[in-house]
Amino acid sequence: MESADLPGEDRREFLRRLAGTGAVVLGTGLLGYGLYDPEGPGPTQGNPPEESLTLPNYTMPEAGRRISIVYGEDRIRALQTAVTALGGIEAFIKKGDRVLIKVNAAFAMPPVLGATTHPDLVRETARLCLQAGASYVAVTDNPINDPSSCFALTGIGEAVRSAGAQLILPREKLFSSATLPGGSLIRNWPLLYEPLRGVNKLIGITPVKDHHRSGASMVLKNWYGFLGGRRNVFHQNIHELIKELALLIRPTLVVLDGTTTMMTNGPTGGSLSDLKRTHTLIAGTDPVAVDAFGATLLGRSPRDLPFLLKAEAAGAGTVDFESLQPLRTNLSG
Amino acid sequence: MKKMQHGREPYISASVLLVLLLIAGGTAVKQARFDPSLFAPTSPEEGLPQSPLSSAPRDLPVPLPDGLVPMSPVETFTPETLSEKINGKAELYLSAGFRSLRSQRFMEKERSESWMELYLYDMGDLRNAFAVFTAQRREDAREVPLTPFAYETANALFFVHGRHYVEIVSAAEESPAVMAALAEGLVRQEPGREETLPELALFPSEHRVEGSWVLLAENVFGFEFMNRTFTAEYELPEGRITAFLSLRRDPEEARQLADGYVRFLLENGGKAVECADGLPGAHCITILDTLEMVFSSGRALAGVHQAEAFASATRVARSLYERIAGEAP
Repeated sequence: MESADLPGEDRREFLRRLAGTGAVVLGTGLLGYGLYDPEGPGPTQGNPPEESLTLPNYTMPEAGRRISIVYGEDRIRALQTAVTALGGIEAFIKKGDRVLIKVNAAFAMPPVLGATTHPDLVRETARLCLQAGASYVAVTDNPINDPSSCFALTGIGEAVRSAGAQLILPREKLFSSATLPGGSLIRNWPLLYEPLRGVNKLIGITPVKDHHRSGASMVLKNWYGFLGGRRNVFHQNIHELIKELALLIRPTLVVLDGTTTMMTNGPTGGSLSDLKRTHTLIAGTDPVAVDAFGATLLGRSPRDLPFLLKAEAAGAGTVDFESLQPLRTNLSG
Repeated sequence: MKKMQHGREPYISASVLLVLLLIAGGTAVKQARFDPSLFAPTSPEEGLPQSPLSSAPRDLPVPLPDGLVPMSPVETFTPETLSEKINGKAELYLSAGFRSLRSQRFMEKERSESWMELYLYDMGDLRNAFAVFTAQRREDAREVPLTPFAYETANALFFVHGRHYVEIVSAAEESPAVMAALAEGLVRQEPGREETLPELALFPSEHRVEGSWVLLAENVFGFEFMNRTFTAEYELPEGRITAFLSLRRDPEEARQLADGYVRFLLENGGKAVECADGLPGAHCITILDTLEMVFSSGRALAGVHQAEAFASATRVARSLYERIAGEAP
């Protein structure tokens, strides 16, 4: 009603401003629509590609490609025997070395359920490294569940402390974008990189488990715990991802614990009846060969686990573990 | 009025624009520094009817037995975040209609080393809960009279309670006595929720292996159009037989699905053979040295899957056929 009383100049001014405001609102809406990303942030967001990292190769060429297989119930003895068969820990760890141990602490579950690396193996491996003269031994993982709960409830945290090693919990600032040269999935993807910075030896320790998606979770799948971000998107292409992890992460030594094997309902299990006492521990420098042997504990072959064949074809190792002439020891015999 | 417009108004406008610019700049900076390693979307459980078991901000509303106390706050996971709890096993739940998971750890007050974790999966309905329950059934399962579908192992309890699939897992090698009390309290929380699954009553009971039910949610036997199919195992002297049954919307859908499955088998190397008498309209196909028998009767699609003992397979199929013909809606 008031507008009817406005002088002509004010009416024109009002209309002019109204049109201007409308244009601003419309422009803002169009700008927002143009910038709207219905798919959300992708893996390449974060550090720009030119800042993306590649990882060092932690293998020791002089150690060759070898594996040792030990049959026995006592994890610590089995580990000691397996490492001795490969030339002793001194063949891998030299005085002053800085060592990172990558465990599987994925779930906040007790050791008895076999879903995570057994703390006895963590403690003993760290002790062996320190005994061999390592100046620094750290243990890390980026678990699926809350990291603090995982390291506490799996017993790994206490094992690390009692061995005199360092525990590195994943935090935002420890991740950097990494790229696998030639890779199609691991491109500018957040990787738990800081714990790897400055170490010159990398050891992986993990249990043998059934895995609902990939068929098995062993040494190569354990490297998944180095990834950050929305890594579950990789579940749709899990075999290709594990192959890329096999090419990205080149460890010094790996230990696969088949003292008990999670035969069903992996990777979490939950019941003791998911586990089978298989009394086997494997150590080696060829992760693909170690996993290929580990598959036999699950009653599977590399043909059942496409990631193994892919990793072999990509040059990450061999599934023909017998060709490496494994050193076998039976502790119970 | 005019004076005001040409006086303070431009400054106010400029201030507003400046604030908007600062907000836009801040948003741009924050977006540019986005760290996908921290990206963990949490979405509310929209559209879910609420019940005492599905609305607990801090603790699960389960009456705790004497001596049991919460050890951790309740954790909630949605379809988008389930893999943050159970990693690769999430697919099993998601394909069966998963809605949400709430989990919480409890410990015995006097024995802190004795703790357990309760997983409360809301699967949307009884069938979905039954599907994930049967998919993970352990070989050494011992039935327990907690709900119609419940079993225990040395260290854990697994059961279906209405639309929920529940796991209680002990950290020790044996289940503490208080675990059963916790489960009973949870079931009492919403009594009378134990619906039935009519398909189960259609499987003949003779020779049926107790507790061998499985509900396959989708992609049944590799056939992408077949879903929601129950199977049961039969132990006969000549070998074990798997029978299957799925109630469809109407007889026409059951018949079309049966025909589609038969075509699928034939396209994948199967060979049609003559069926024994007493199974009108049934299809028999040999594939990889096993026998597949498929038929529809009313709304039911049923048959026998991958049988090595042909005579036993026919016996089970005929028994199933007669049962369905007499009982099926």
